[in-house]
This record gives sequence, structure tokens and C-alpha cells, in this order.
Amino acid sequence: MHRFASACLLLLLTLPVCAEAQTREAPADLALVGLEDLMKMQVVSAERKEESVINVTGAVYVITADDIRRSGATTLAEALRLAPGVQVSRVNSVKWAVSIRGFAGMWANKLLVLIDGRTVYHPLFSGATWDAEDMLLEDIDRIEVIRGPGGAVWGANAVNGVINVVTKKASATTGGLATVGTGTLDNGNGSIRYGASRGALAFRAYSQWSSHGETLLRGSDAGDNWTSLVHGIRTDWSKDRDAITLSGTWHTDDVRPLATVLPGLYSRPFFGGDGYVSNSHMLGVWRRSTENGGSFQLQSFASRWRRGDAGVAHDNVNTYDADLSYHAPTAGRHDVMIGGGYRRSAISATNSFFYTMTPNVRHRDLTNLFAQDEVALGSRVTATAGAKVERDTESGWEVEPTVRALWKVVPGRQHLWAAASRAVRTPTGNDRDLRINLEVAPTPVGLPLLVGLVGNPDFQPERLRSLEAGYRTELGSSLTLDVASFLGDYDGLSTTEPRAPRFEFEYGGPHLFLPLQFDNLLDVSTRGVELTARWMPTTRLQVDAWYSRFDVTPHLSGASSDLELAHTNGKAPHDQWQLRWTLLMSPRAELSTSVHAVGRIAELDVPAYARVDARLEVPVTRRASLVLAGENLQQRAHREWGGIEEGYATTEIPRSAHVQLKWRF
Amino acid sequence: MARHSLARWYRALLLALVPALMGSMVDAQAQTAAEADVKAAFLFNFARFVTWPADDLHTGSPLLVCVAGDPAVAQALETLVKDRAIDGHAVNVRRLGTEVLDGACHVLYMGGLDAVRSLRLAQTLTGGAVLTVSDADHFAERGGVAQLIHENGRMTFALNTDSAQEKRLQVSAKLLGLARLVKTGQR
Repeated sequence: MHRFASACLLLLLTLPVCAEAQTREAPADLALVGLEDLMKMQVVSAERKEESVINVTGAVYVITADDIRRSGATTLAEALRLAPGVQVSRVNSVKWAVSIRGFAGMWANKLLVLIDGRTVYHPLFSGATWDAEDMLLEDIDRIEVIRGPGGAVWGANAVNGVINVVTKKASATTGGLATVGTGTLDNGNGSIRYGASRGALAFRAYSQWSSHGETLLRGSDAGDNWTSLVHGIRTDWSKDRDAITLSGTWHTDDVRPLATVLPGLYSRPFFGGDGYVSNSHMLGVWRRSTENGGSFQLQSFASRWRRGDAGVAHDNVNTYDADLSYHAPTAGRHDVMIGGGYRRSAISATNSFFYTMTPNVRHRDLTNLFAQDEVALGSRVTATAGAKVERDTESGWEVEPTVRALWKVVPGRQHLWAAASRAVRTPTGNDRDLRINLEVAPTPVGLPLLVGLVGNPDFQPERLRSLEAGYRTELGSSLTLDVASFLGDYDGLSTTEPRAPRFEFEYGGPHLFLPLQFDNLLDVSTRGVELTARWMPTTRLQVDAWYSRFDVTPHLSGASSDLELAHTNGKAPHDQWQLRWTLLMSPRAELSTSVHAVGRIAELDVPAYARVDARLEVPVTRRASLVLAGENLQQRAHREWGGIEEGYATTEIPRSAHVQLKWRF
Repeated sequence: MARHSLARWYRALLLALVPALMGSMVDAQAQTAAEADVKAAFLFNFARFVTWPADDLHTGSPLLVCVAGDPAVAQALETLVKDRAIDGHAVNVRRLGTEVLDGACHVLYMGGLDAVRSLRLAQTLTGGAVLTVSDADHFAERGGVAQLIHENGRMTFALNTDSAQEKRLQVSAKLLGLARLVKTGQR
């Protein structure tokens, strides 16, 4: 850590020297330069130039700020329903199972989530806790959903995809915004945000409070309400070649997540009580452009996480991360990007009868290096080769390579791409050192039999090899179509194997213990396709539609006793589709409707369901508008997940409506 | 730099490499300028070479250039127009947000928004002939008046003459000669 820090310092010190060493001949006053000469000048930008989706060599979908607003989503997890190939299952009021291309679950660990480049995941299970990532959705500029392995650029745990939430620059959120709302499920919320710009500096600050009501369990209120309070700030400064962003978020939640708890050897399990989450971070990014059109970026963040679910788990995680990347589009055929980073997570978990982590105070260090080269083979074909090399204290070195190609059949109009990649999900403390005491049964001999999950110190990384191909076309200026297909081969996925029972004295008295230990005895082949269309015939009407299909063929090892997994479908529906449209009645009045059908998940006994949502926004004064929205209008209540084997009760999501007033000042 | 073997790049430590790369990047041929300064200079030139109808820009009254959502460009423009006049009109820079626009503008530059949102934002301005400018893709072909295009390291621009005519803006021959001319709906 010290070596890396001092190396970074050395790098930073050499930069001003390098800047001095270059000759800059910019004239003092551009007003005196004729237009013809202005057009001949070499222009350097401090901001990153966004890649247009049609040029991406991979399956990507961008959820825009307008899409999020028109959907009526009030939380980040709900906003993700808009993207094709993403499975969002609301387990209860406060818990979601989100995944891309299978293997969803609240402990889903094959999806990498980033907010403004800051990774959002818990190092003990490598997944995201969605209620802890509450934010002002109005601040989101877009959500880039990358389907397929992103390991070569984004690292381990980006096995099935990457969700990159990008917030608006502070200069785009100047002025004041206040909102207040209520509803049947989102039963209270209010927010205030203010931003301004002076000189080359812009900032914003906001606070949001929200209260979410109860869903239904066997027809009556489930008791899973929660409230969330979040404050955030962001400042952006840019001048000439440099751009610096500093941001911070402070977030606390009070939740009642319906966790199942086994409190003791002679007790019965119950649905737990109260919990809390406190999640704060500070993030700094410095980007500097170089003369040849390249750039380098230094990013660092620190985050502090505290969570307690009554009786289930209490843990604290402090994370420190620094990443450096350099992009050099060389004059020639190569476009190279290289980078590296370091992250340290300091974890401390409180053990209970139900949950034990040994050791419960630990740290996890991740070091990575990556490189990527995009080579232009002719004017229409680009080939990319990249790899990320990572070292994890828990599992040693891993390499994740990717090879991709893009063929501009008709440049800007029809593009074909293909990719072959390898990705890894590295083991965590939960895979190796966990113990969860699940249930107790009496035995004829009078000794209780305790059944529990135990980690496997030899748990191996789960691996994916994947082949993907896709096609994008823009027909006229109003219709875009996108097709992405994939084949995946997973090795060593997690299974649960019963081991020999043993006699124990710990955990409250003598008893027999039947361990169910994790092992890597499942291989799976997957394949699927995602079709997306966007049609904007006029600036007043926008129609989006998508369809995704997902097939799983499991191959359970003969040595495994986890027989349910022999028929797994990856806990994902076989297909889903969505059709949504928005009609703009005037510059500020819009009506949006969405229909979303999700196929059944047989292995969790979740029937197929459809959602119908609608939202109307109308101006009431020059500065204020009123929102009326309804969700799940098509039925009184429906279930999106099943079982409680992951520790949280699944409830039914009721039909709901909400109203909101927005005022700009 | 392309001549260095790529194998060297992959083997060298990142930290040793970056300062070396920075030092080798000297391009003494072309003049360089920051993007925000160049955009501001373009806006200034648009204001110089376009004529507004007399009832929108009276003799002696200031020419209002509004910049929505891009403080770097607003800052650069404020420096550029200090103590300068165009045809006897003082030039005032107004910084606006990107949600709702207030007051009057002769030139409206919208930064950081896509074409559709920029056009909808421009519609919230009531009255007057406004020269709408943006750097978003397809802005001119969707109805914006001028589009700034940053490509191959240089800045150029497109003009939609139909839009300019609709808004009763007279564009000088000089601008027409240097612009890429675009009609609404055409690529």
C-alpha cells in the first residue's frame, strides 16, 4: 500500500513538469482569430467524449434520464427494469434480486455495479444491496447496462454484466428543485436540491427522505416497511485540459427486511425485526487530456458501510480504492488503454448464533492491472484485445482476457460485432469461512440436530467462457434496432453438499450438526438473445420495445448431492418482453405507459406475471409540475420471487399509485 | 509512438510509463486551444455574422447570448466578450440551467444534452428569434440552427438554413460558405 501510494505521488509530481515541457502556442485572444483559422486549430477537451452506442463492441443498453423519469421508478433497482436482459425481482418491500443472464438472488454475485465509477458491492458476498444505494434518481444522467462478461475492463465479478450509473454533471443541475409526494406503496417522500455555477466551478447539494410501505404476505400487511434518508454533494471544475470532480454521499436506512432468524439451539426461527444500513462515501476524479487526443484519469474513493439486520448479521466495511488509467489514441491504427488499481476492504462482522464468520475481522486486498488495444484493420473493421490481471488476497491471481471485433458494414448505419471472453467470480468470505445455522430438529435420541451451511476453505473461483455476437442498425433517423446473442459455459458454480454429521458442544450445548458445505460441482451452458427497438417518429412520440430469451442446460457432477440444481434454470425466466411508449402533449406534459411480461421461474415456483404501469406529468405553473402514476395496475398483487432459502421472506407486490409535486426555483 | 513495440507497453510498469508518454507528446505544428475557448469563439462568430430582425434586437440594446449547462463555455465567453461589441450592441452572457429557460436570448447554446432534449428545452423559451446551437449529434438535422462538430481534433460546424429562415435569422454568406449545410431530416 505504501509503495503504491508513493508511486502515485511521484507520478503526480512529474505531471506539471511534463506540462511545462510541451510547447503551447494558443493565441491569447480567440476573438481576434478568423473563423477559417479557428476551424484549423487543434482542439483539446477536458471532458470525456462519449462513445455512441452503435460503435460499442458488445451488448449495451443506455437507460436515459427521460426513461427513468417516465417509468415512475422511485428506487434504483426499479429503474433497472427498463433494460433488456436484466432480471429485476422484487422480493419484498426492501429487497431485490437483480441479475443479468441468470443466477439472480439477493446474494447474486455475478453482476458488477458502479455509480460514477465507484464500485458498489459488499466484499463478503460480492453483490449489491439495493436498498443501501438509494439516491436522487433525478440526478442520474444515464444508466449504462452492459450485458455479458466485462472482466477484461471492469474486473472480477463482472461475470454476467456491468451496471454503470452515471450522474449528471453539476452544471446540468443548477437552480433549485423541490419535490414532495405520497402514494399507496411509496407512502411518503420529499427532496430538495440546489446547484449553482461560478466561473469554471459548478456544484450541487441535495437531501432526500423517503418512506416505503408494506407489501402483502398471505393477504395481509407484511410489516416490511422502510425509510431512507440520503444527502449528497457534487462539485465539478474544469479548465483547459483538466477536469476534477469531488462528490460525497451520506445515507442511512431503517429497514424491516423480513429476515429469517434462528436465535438459538432451543428456539424456533422467526421473521426478524428491525435493521439499519448506513452507507457513506467520498469520491474524487481527476481527468487530464493530453495533446494527442488521449487522456489520463486518477480516481479514488473511500466508503464506510455499517449494516445490521436484527439477529441475522451485523457488519462494518471500510473500503479505500485508487485507480489510474491512461488512454492513448496513437496516430496510426492503435488505440490503447492501460490502467491499474488497488482496493482495500477492512471488514468486521459481528457473530451471532445464526451467522458466524471466521475470522470475523479481516481485510481483502485487490490489485489489478488492465490493458486494451483497439486496432483498426482497414477503415471498417476494428479488432480489440484486452485483459485484466487481478490479485485478490482471498484467491490469488486471475486473468480475464477478451477478444472483440466490430465491422461497420455500412458505417454509422449497420454494425456487426462479436466477442469471446473469459471471466471469473472470485471466492469471498461467505464462500469459504461462513457458517449459518439454519434449523434445528429434535431427534429420537434426545439430542437436537442442527442443520447449517458451512463455507469451504477450498472453494474455487467460478469461471465463464463466453461467445457473443450482435447487430445494430439505424434506419432513417428515427428507428434503431439492436440484436445481441450469446453462448456461455460456466464451470464450478456453487452447490451445497451434505457432509458427515458430527457431534458439537459449541452454540449453546451438545448437539448433532449436519453441515451443508459449499462446493463447485455444477457446470452450466447458457444461451440467449436480446432484441431491442427504439422508434421516434416525431419529437412527440417515443416507443421502446425489447424481448429477451434465456436457456440453461445444467450439468451437475455425479459427485454432487444437490439434486435440485440438476434441473436449474439459473433462477431466471425463460423469456421477458417489454413495450413502452411516451406521448409528449406539450414541452412539459407527457403521458407514458409500459407493459412488461416476465415468464415463470419454475425452480422457485414463481408464476409468470405482467406489469402495466402508467404515468402522467402535467405542468401546473411555469415552474411546477404534477405527477400521477400507477404501477402494477393489471392485478391486485403478484409475487416476483420465491422461497426463503436466501434468508429473506418473499411477499406479494401490490398494485400501487403515487402522486408527486415538483417545483423548480 | 506507434513505432514502439506494443510488447513494451504491456510489460512496463504503468507508473514508469505514463510520465514518459506525457513528455513525448509535443505537437509543435498546429495551434492548440481548449474546447471551451473554441466553442465560445464560435458563438461569438455566429453572433457577428447573423442578423436578427429589427423588432427582436433594437439599436443599442444588448445582444444576449445564453449558455445553458456548460459553465466552462460560459466562463470562456464572458472573458471573450468583455468590452467588445457587435454592430454597436454590447454582448451579455446569461448562464441558464437545463430544465426551464427564462427571459430572452438571441443565441442559445445548450451543452451536454442530446438533440431531442436540446430542442425541447429551446421550446421553453417564449418569443423572439433565437439562434439555437448545440454540440449534440443530429442537432442540425432535427431542426436546430447550428451544430458544433468536434471531429478529428478540430472544430467545425453545420447550419440548418431552413431553421434559420423559419426564425427570421439572416445568415451572412461568409458563414454559409464555411458551414456544412443541412436540411431538416437529412443526414
